[in-house]
Amino acid sequence: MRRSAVNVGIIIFFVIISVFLYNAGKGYNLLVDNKAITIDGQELQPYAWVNVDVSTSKKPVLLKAGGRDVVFVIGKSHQIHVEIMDEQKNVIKKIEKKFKLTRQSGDLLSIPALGSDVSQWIQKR
Amino acid sequence: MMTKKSSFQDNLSHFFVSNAVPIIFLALSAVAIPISRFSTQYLVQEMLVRLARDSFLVLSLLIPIMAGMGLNFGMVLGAMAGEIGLILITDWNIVGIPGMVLAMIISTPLAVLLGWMCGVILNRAKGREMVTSFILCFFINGVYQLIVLYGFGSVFPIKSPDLVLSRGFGIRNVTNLENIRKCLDNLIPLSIGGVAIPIATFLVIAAFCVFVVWFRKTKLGQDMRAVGQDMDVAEAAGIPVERTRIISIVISTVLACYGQIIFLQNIGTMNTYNSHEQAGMFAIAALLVGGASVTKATIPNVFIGVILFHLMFVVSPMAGKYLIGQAQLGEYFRVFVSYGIIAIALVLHAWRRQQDKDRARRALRGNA
Repeated sequence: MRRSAVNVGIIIFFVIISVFLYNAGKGYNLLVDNKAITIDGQELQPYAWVNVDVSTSKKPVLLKAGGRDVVFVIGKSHQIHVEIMDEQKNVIKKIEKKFKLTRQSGDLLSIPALGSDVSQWIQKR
Repeated sequence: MMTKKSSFQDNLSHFFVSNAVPIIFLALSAVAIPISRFSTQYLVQEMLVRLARDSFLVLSLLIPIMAGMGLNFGMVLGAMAGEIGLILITDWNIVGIPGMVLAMIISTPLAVLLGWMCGVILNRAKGREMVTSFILCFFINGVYQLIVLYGFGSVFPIKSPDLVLSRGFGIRNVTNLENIRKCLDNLIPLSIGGVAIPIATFLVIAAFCVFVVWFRKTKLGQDMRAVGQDMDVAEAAGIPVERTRIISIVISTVLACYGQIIFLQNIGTMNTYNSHEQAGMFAIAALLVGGASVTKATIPNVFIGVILFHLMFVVSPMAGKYLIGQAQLGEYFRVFVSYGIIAIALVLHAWRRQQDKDRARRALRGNA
């Protein structure tokens, strides 16, 4: 009886560890978008230049208006750093935001929506 | 005087006979290294990489030898289980150390099941364990290929299009393990004089060595030694012989599974249908090159064997190119040496057993 309880406990322990490792190690390909987007009837224009750095990604992404790139991130919780720049690449605005990827959330990060403080800045592809 | 001299000669010849294989490899290496013109730094780097990559697999062979099961060709079953774990974590896109550990956890139940099955079959083939496990590998290889070539993508869903063949099911010939490539090796990076040392991997190997030393002192370890020495006496002493033999094979299979995962994270790519085939042969050949036998193997045998065996692999292509203009000599060596060394070791083992019996008889009679 006691031995069975220990065995079941060990199995449950490894299942929990597996779930933790799955969430901690899962990689996601996120699209970083600096394109025009319409959300709830509101049309948002792209910025001239944006420099986007997502935590756990290897290097920041520089996008001009209409540009799109892919960043590979590990895990669900991240912080995004955005530098919005003008045509001469002078920084006019900096944004820092924490976000969490879920099953329901998408994998497309719209920088125009983020810059305009729209709540649905993470879209599905 | 004559007695002392003949005793010294006797001991010397016993030493050379007991360590014939490592001595031959050492001599071959001493000849081939200068001909190959490799620098010392290059050879040291290669040997460190191969020690880190292969030692775990070779260490997994120690426990069945202790239990008298001989050389466990069934470790290939563990390698296959590890590869299935790696395919799954690659599909799920789990990266780094979490991916590697998750692959180990996922493949453990499968390795336990395969090890148990192997142990049960070997119990029905007492005295013929090595050839039975050798043939069992071919059978399970067929089952593995059936599952991977037809099951994955159809019965077991695989989402990643990079993994699946163009027909929609079956895994591609080469699985890219970029997600876990060198994750353990680079966990604690260290470079001395331009030579990179995978500290984390060596720590894992050291922990395994400590585990082997500790295990030998436990009751189960002592039971295995008793079973390995004489099954009938062990049975009479109340040791559950068949259960102990099964446990030794299960432990070896699970450790071979982890060893294969460590091996493949170093390589970074996996030949889905071939990677495991040579795992057993090379590991066993390396252990035998290190001076181990079918009935006795120690931790130093593992490391000496891995170094000497892989030293030949590294230097023989270039030595062959400079000697006879054919770099393919290396490839020929790879197969010839692996099979040849196992054959030599088995023959030497039988001959040494006869020699030991003669020595024991002479010692009892005295040098009359």
